[in-house]
Amino acid sequence: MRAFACTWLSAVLALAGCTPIVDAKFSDVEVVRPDISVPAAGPAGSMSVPFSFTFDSSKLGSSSNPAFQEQVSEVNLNQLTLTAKSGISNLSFIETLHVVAYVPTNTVDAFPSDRQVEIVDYQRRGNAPIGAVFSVPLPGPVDLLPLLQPDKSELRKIVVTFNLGGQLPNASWTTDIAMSLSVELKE
Amino acid sequence: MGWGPSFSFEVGHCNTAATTSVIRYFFSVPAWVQPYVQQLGYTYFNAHVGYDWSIGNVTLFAHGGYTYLRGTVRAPQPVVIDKSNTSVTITQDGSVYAHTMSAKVGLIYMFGGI
Repeated sequence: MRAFACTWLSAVLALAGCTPIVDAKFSDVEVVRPDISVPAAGPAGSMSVPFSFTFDSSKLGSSSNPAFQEQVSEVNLNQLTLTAKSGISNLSFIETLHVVAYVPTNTVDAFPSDRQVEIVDYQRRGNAPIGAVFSVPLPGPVDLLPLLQPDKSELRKIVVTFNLGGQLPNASWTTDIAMSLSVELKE
Repeated sequence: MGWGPSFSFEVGHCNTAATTSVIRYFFSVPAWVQPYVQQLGYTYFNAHVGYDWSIGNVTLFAHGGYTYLRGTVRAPQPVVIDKSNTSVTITQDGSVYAHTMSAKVGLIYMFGGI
């Protein structure tokens, strides 16, 4: 048999079957909220200041539909970072930081729902300078998955509240906040 | 002219490249994930059994079996998720694993002869 170089031409007309089982893992997804305004500390003696920001969680997989909720199987917060943006250049004044994230209710006032996660309750130890970037020490990965599973009485949003304590600046300032997540999806 | 059962094993690879809406549809990417699937590369393995019919230089086939795929998802551009400029960036490539039943029918034309 004389063999000649053969080329093949195939037309794939169908590639079908059962629903594929898909597993996707993202080890480092960074959510960044820029230019968050932090109010000035009040008169002398005011040692803490609250501030917060809200973001739309629908593009992070948040859904009230149980079928869609099953697609997101794991969301962990691994790192929380504050970066001085304007008004200050050093975050060494931070002594305490309490951070909570919650899902607001679907009401006019958007009250906090019971779907809340404490991210960190930080108390500074030692006097080592922090600098312009503060990576908040977390006790471990923080499970944020409940925040992406709102029911129909809750919004597909996440509010992150900060309560900052220390020798706070007397003028308002801005910060960028970055949250580093690991995410796992299944289908 | 001839016919008979067959077994085939295939390996294919696609380098990481920009995706299209067709590709994202083909891979059943959920709508909210689509902005993050900016580039995709994958390697797949097919193990199929089937039946082939040869008529002259043409072979018709119908194969079915199992497919395993592993891929890489890359999103070099941040995705802005709301009006407050909150952005999401995939800073390390994501890994995708999939397995499914699969099937194909087609034809092979062989140039040359016996």
